[in-house]
Amino acid sequence: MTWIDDRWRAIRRVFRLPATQARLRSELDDELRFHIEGRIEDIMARGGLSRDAAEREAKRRFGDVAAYRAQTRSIDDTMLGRRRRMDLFDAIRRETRHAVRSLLRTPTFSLIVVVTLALGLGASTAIFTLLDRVVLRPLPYPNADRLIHIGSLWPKTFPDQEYGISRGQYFYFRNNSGVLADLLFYDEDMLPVPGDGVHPAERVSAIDVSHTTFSMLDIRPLHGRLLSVEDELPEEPQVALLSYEYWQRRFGGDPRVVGQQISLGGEVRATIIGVLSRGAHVLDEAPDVWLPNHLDPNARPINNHTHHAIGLLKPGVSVAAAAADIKRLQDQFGKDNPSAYFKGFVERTGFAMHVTSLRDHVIGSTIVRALWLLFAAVGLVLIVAAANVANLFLVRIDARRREVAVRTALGASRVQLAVYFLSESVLLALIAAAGAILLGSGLLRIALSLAPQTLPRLAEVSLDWRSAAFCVVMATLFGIVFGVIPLFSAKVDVAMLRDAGRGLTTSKRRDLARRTLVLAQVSLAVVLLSGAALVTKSFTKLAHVQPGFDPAGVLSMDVILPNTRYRSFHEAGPFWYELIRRVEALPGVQHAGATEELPLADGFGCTGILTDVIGPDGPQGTCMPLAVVTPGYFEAMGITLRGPAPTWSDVNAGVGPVVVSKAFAKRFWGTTDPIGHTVKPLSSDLPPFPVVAEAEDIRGKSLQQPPVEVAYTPVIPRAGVKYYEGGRSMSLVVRAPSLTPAALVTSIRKIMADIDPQVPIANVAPMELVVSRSMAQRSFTMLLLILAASIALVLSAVGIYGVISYLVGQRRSEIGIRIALGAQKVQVSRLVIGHAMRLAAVGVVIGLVVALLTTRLLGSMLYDVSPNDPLSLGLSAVVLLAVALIASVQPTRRATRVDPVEAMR
Amino acid sequence: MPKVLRLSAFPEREMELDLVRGTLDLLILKTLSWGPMHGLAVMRSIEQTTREQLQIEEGALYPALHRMEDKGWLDAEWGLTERNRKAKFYRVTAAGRKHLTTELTRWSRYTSAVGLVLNARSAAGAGK
Repeated sequence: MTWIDDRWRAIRRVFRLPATQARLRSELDDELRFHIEGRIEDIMARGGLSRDAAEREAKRRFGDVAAYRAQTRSIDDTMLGRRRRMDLFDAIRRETRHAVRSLLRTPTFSLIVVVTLALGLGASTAIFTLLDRVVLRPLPYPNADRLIHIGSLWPKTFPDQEYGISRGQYFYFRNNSGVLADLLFYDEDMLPVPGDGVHPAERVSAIDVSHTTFSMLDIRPLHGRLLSVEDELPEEPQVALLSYEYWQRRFGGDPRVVGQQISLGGEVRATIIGVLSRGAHVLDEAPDVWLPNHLDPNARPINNHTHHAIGLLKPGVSVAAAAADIKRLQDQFGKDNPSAYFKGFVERTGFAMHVTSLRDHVIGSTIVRALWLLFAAVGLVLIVAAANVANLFLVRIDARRREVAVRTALGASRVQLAVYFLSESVLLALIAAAGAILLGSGLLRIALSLAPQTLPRLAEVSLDWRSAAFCVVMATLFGIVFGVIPLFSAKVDVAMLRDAGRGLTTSKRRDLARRTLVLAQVSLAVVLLSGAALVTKSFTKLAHVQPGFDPAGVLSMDVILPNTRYRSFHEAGPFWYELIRRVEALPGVQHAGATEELPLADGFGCTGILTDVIGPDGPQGTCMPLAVVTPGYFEAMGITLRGPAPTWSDVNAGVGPVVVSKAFAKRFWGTTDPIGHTVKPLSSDLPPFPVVAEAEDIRGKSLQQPPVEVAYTPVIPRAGVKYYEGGRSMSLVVRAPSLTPAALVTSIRKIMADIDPQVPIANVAPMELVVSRSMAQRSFTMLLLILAASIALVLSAVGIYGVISYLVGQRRSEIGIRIALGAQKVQVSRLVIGHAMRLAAVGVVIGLVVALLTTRLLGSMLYDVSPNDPLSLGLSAVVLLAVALIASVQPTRRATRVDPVEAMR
Repeated sequence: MPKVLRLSAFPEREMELDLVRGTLDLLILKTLSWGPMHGLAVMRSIEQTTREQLQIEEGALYPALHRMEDKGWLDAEWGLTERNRKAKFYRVTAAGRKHLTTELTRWSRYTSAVGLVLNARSAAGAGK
């Protein structure tokens, strides 16, 4: 059959063009025309028929030309598509194979590029994931963009704090607002659920919600029903909903639980009316038990702004319009309900409503700022890494100028060269991306273990496809940039082939590019180092802040008494007396006491009080933190007192001895001695309480905030009085430096079981942990910033090393001549090191200028440190110069060993 | 004039389509197995061989040729005819040859089986 093949080859030689759809179509037309023309000739040759008749006959025999053409065209199109896909696939495979082969020839280069890029990309991907989860994604609620948070500000009394709204406002806003489609209202709560034989007594998280919560946040029941308006009326909840998780944990997922009674502590029992579907939550609250909030529309409005409120705007209403409407309503509310606020309340506190989009409310915390900062920091690290890689690619181009010249001489077009370089750089970047995704998920896990619990929306954060896509897209972009560098920088010079490699001088432009990259690296590293140094200095300063108490050897735990059996101080008091007496009797325990407000644990709200200071409009008072404490508390916490500490006999005598903090005393009595003055709660008709001692100031809210102005009141006030609720939910603090927390808790549990087995303890934590937890956000940011700065530092060192050793290589013959002319090692070293240090110094100066301009962005991350702190900035500069020096040691040594004979040959 | 079999890619009944396609593919492959040809030459060859007893709607040839090209049974290339005209020539590929062999075997088995029934003198197994 060779003749067929011969003939075939002859035919084959005629035409060969790449297939396109248009060409295939015109070819098909030609093919069909050829057929019909040929047929007409056949028929006419057979004789008899005219050309027209022959044409008609040919077409009749052919059938429906248009239909057959269409059918064939569609077959051609399918074929073309498939061939193109295969061609593309082949091209990718071919180019990848070339790239792999070429990269394997320079394994060190490939490895360094992959590791450097993976480091930068991995860090960025990890922080991107956090940022994406916490900040970028919308809230997981229907109409999330229409949800607003309504709170109140008291700038004159509590600057920088936001409080909630009152029940009266809930009804007023909900009924009268023209912009709100609906409003929800809730409080977090903790319930002491007694043991049932199988499960021990436990404290469960609860939430008291308005019935509107469910529809607004799209929370649905799995079993049973949701809350109705009627359920909100009784003062004590009579119905309860269980979260899916609590239902599984405590009731083993038994649907018959609906209709049963659940004890909410003491004698309060509620009927379980339903189980919510999995994952029901209100912002960061995912409570176990959901109860109706006590919402009686006929109740008298009172000044109690402790409830959270979320509003749903009508479509098309802006947050600003909503804020204006709520402000108007609040003014009207005050006029309609003159009894809600005392005289001069608004003037004295600066009380005003505060409306923000819910999203801003959730992510408006300083941690979000910290995340953006960290993202910027890892972004800088990525740029530093990329600069190193770009530098490596520049070096590689010089090494490959011959290869490029050969390829050009052999007819490679610019496009082909581009594909050739791009396939290498993109392949490297994609390998780095794969490594970065692995590294990133590891880094993310580390970051999450360091992350403070206050970080919002962190449930189930993992590196998902969005993060992976971020990583791959970034990698591809860098790959393309690296691949394009040679095309711009390598002016292909075929002439160099003649010079047999002696044309290997580098262009001035590329040298400049290389230096610029190193300058950028050094300056960015200085910026990162300065930021890390400032934050670290703040952290150290903060760690040295005296909290006003001595946390070492103190264990704290929360104890809540059920409100049915412990209705008043007179019922709660004996419990605390007995508990503390017996805990203090334990061997190894030095002191024990209890407080309503544990320092550095999100406490210290305020209660209206009056003092004996007479101002322009009567006795001067305002809303101040009050903390109910038991005797023994000051000793257990190590808070020093001036004056006698209240004892149980004082407390039981019902004379209401009060201790005030120094800051409290200073606010009301200035420099005069507070002892002997009086304080009383605003809402009571009691005789005032005598101040018997002044306590050392403590940092109650956080270490960076000024000391709290607190008045400590006794667990049993004046005899026979029941003026405010309290003393039921307290933190027990025990000073026992020689005991382990576990042993101490076991002993305390035994005592508790003996006094009242229905009372649970929770949140056991050494005071030192409470203190360090309050700094968790700072230590988180600090550690990650230090990590980012360290990576940038190492990468800059590599960059400087690379450039200096390259320069030494370049100037080998020059150095050789110098040595031959009698230059000493010292002089040669000075030449090389001088070069490195000049480069580093310029980078450091640029970096310091940038740092001076940008470190103020750290804002509240700084504590008692100026953003332009000369020590921190100076230290960063010195560290970088030292690193530059170290990085140039090896190239310098190489320069001094240049053999002049060899170099000049 | 003898009765002729009509083959069209647009048959009157849907069920005929597969049979028509299969048969046409087989005829084309067999014809091309003699050597590269353009579509019209394939047509002429079939006509001459069947002595015009099989009337194929000629247009049906082209979807079949292009489909077999897509499947890799045929290779196509433009070339010149003996009268120096541009035409598209088809050639059976190795895969096409293999397909032809299997299809030929299947075809002859099928026709001989059908033939056995049609030529039977009595119904086998009847009365048992």
